[in-house]
Amino acid sequence: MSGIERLGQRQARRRLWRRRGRELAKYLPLVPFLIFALFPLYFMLVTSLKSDAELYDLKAVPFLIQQGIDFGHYLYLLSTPFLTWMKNSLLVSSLSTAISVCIGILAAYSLARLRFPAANSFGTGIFITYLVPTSLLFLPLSRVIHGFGLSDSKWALVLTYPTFLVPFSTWLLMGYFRTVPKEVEECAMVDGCTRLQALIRIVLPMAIPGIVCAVLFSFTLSWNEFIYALTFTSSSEELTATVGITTELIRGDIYYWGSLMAGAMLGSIPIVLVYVFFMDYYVSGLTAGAVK
Amino acid sequence: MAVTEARARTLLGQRLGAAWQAVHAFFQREAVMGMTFVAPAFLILLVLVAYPFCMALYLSLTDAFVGRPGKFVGLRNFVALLQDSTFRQTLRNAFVFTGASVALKTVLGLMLALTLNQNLKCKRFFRGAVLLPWVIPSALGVLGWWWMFDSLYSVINWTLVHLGLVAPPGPNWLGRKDLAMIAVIMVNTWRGLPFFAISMLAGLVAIPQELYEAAATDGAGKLSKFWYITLPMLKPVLAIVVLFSTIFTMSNFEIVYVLTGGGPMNSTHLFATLTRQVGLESGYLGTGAAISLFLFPVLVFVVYFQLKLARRETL
Amino acid sequence: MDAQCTSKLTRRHFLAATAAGAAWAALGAPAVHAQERLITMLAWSNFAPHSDVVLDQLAQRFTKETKIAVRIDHMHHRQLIAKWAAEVESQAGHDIGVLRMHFPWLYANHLLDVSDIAEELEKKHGPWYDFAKEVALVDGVWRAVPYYYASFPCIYREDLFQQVEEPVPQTYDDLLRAGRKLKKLGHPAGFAMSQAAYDGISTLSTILWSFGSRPVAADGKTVTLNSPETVEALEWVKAFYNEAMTEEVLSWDDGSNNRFIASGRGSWIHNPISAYVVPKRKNMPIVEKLNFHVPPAGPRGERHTVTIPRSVGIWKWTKDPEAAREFVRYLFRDDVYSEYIMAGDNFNHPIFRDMENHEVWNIDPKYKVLKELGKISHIYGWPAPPTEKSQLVTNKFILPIMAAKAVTGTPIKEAIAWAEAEIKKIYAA
Repeated sequence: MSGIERLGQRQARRRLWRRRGRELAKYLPLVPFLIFALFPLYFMLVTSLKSDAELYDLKAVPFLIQQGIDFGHYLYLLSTPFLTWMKNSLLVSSLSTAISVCIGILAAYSLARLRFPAANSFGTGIFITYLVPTSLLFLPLSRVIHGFGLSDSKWALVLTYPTFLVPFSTWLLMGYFRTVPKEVEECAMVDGCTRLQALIRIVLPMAIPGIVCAVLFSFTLSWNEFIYALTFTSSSEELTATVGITTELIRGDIYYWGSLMAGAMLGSIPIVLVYVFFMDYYVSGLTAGAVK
Repeated sequence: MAVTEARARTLLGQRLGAAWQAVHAFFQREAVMGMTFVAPAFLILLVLVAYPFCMALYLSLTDAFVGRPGKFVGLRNFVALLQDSTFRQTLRNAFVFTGASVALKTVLGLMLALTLNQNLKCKRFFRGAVLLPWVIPSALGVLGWWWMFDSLYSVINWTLVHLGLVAPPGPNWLGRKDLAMIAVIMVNTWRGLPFFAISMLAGLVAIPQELYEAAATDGAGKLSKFWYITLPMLKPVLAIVVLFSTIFTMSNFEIVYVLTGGGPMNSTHLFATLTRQVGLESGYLGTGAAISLFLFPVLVFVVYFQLKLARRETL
Repeated sequence: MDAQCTSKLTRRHFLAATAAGAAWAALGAPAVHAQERLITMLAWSNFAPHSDVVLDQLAQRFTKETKIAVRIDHMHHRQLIAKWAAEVESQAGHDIGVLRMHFPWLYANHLLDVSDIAEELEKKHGPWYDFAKEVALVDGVWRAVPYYYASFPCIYREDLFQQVEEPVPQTYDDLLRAGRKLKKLGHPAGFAMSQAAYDGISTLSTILWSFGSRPVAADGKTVTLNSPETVEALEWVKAFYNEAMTEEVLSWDDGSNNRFIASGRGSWIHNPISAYVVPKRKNMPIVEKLNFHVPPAGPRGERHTVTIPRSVGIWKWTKDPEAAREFVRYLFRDDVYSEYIMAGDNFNHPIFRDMENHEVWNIDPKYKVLKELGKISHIYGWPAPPTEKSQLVTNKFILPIMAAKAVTGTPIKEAIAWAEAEIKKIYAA
């Protein structure tokens, strides 16, 4: 091996290292963000799996489990109405999502495609209601709910969640309907289809990504909703997971951290599962609003 | 007998069919169809948004209390609120909380978006990971933070103390006015950052590469590319995300409700938590409605900007 | 898009939908039930869970005796406030309510007069404790029957007090002296001064009253917070905060002081006995070292503490007031009452003076001292009547905020002036 060759090799190796370094530098800035995003979740998981003895030991290392994994807190959840809350969440979220997306499809199609008086002001109106926060309305709305005879009932949530889901899905779907070329639809109508049929057979299939997106987001928003659920329901058997976990697992001044964290983990799992499977829709949905 | 009955039935069928055709034709008209399709949405928003909103307006002008009919008191609730130190504190908190959170989310979100926009391996994994805090129920995520800020068992303080950065027992996160505010801002940032980052990432992806290439041939550096291309191109996305976030941050409820209850010394109360404390837990419906209505001017302001922006975009 | 696109298909759908609608309407007709007497009661989910089980058993026995069915619902106490508000707004719901603290006052207009039952019980058991009268006797009418109460003793580490050679504190000066030594030992004392814990209101009310301070006078109108006694009390609080406690008390929630004493770090707290009962149930060794004492006396010998009493009231909207009354009477029958009280590990103290010798006090020898507390207990807002105004003073955490201000640098006078203005505003409205 000649000296020149060796020199060349060394240079190549150095170049390789430099490239690796540069490569690493791309990932380095991600580290603090990843820690910030994931550590609280990791810590919740660890806390939920610790025995009480270790959890309340001042000398223990908080982010490690050293005295063995303990499923006691998860088992404890079974002695509470936890499963009822999960079922309620599932019921309320699915129903209000179904209702809202259906209503949203109709409204969005109409606003995106049909010409009728006051269409523009409808559009603006829906947009404005999307921006009316729930915390402005929960107080008077509790009286309206009461007027419907739905105080302390999960059906009150099925009724009220569409107030923020409909504007949202309408707004999202309008964008998607606009991307379906008008000509395709007109063609179908020339062939003898009514508008409704054209909508169902032609436009909807083409807007499926948008609809999936609206369903996902509506489901997530209803599953995560807190203030309406906290205000309109109070009996244990009517509560949703978010409210049940944050209020009923806190028994006055008794120790609860382990089970609270266990509840928070399990209460998040359905949404995380949905999210893992449909992540691309999430991202496109999130960005649709911002880019369009 | 049987024959006439059958004929009558077909006749009826035909009549019904004709009526149906007429109805059908009516609904086929674009205007009618348009209005029909919008009607359900309109109805829901009328009964469950517009009506309660008017009711909030009315309640705020009365001294209504749970179980008792209210009397009309004019603007007394609003005047009393403006003279109330707790409310004024809440007003200040809301602006500090919103301003700081949105600013943090914007800056960090942009940094994260730029990082994610590189040519990375496992792109999906990284995006998925940073999105998680935004996906899980915020009320449940906050519980984790609550335990992380606990005065006795705080993992943050444990780490700081063991790294030798602070003397034990470490900062009293939820017990000091400034630290409690920092804590709630931190949690809000944790929760909202993914939304900013992913939206801006989409904005970044949408910037045509040719612009950068053209700039490169002109000899532009990284910084000037960022300043003269990235930022201006990102502006519309940025504006919308910021305005949205302003509303939802300003009206935030669960972070403060779970973490501090508005304390210490009312230093973290927001409109929503104060409304609940006064209006629901103490039964003063009139005052509670008045508190929540103070969100409205902010809302109007933001919506106005939003619409103005949207118009300019479409023109 | 040809044959399929005729309107036949949609018409069929239309007809089907109409039929479905009719069927739905038919199903909606109310089912006819056999006539039976049923009363419903709503109570909180007791922190001593076994007492809820026993309550259900007692109700079943009542049904056997009288043929009146009873349904008892339990609800988490934090949800109960909104639930009562909803029932009152709709004038419908449960027949009987187990009402916390001031709720008989708050909803007096919606509760039946149960003076006959209360007066009978008074004849049988002797005069009511003051606090029992204060919560349920509204303008001369009993709106509910006092049922049981939770007490607020001081809980302290016997071993640590011995180690610093301090006796059980008799006065607040004793407590401060002991606290100083204990903090130096690495075991501070603690009571909440935050907005996340009602405990803070309990302890601060206790201290203020014992020093002779009365935030609002008994007439329920005059705000008397700004007094030399309040200044004196806050000076003590400030000294205790600086020399015996740590900053953490400013962030405490209702569970913090329990963890504080059970972790072995704390040496003294003021809390219901759950702080002792839970570690006991979990067999934590710390229990051996814990004991109770009556809250200390103020500078002029006054002793007070807070209680959380619960009373049974009958709502005006009940359809069967006679059955409801009968059930309430049944709950107070000697054997029934005794069985219920025994089920709660003395978390629910008997409300009758003549039961200070009841066997419930013997469940644990350490409980004996607790029976002194009933005589010196009051509810939030005392001596003013517990109206909605008093409730707002509580819910706005005015007393803990005043104290927190005073110990974090605001001059005491200024902190008091702030709280006085806040309370005056509430009472003037």
